Amino acid sequence: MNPVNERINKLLDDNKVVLFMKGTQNFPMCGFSARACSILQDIGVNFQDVNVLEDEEIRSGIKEYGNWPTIPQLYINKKLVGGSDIMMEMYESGELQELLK
Amino acid sequence: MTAKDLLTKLEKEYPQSIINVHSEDDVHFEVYIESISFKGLTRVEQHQQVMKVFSEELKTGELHALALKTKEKK
Repeated sequence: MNPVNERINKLLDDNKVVLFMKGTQNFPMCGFSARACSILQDIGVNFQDVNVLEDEEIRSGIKEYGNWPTIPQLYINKKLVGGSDIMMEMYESGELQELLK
Repeated sequence: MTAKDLLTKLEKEYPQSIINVHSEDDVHFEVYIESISFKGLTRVEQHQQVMKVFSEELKTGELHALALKTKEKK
């Protein structure tokens, strides 16, 4: 397994909820990443943010890892949930809150 | 890349589908697609299929903010 995938696996093993994003949860650097953060913060779940702007290896690696070419991306229990659009859809339907219980 | 460009490309990939593309700044795009070709796919798979249509533009960064809403057309 290549080193990037190992790093990603470790991140996903160590944290139930991981948001790969541009910026940090306190300083999101892009509209969609900000939207993703505010959804998780509104639900009140702790999550690990990974700032891809400061980690080029992860930025390209994560896109290959889950065959998802855009940032932000949310993982719960090592499973890709999707980008900010799917998060919003699931948040509005209550599905995301359920998944995070 | 304009909303029109996206629409044209999507209409070619998804015939007989309901498609609309919205953008205020031609940088952030919101796309709605209702298509029979999403039959049996999860939401993530539907989005992955649509994003594959723009894999080049997403890689070059020509297109970076794409919000999708997909639905299986009965």
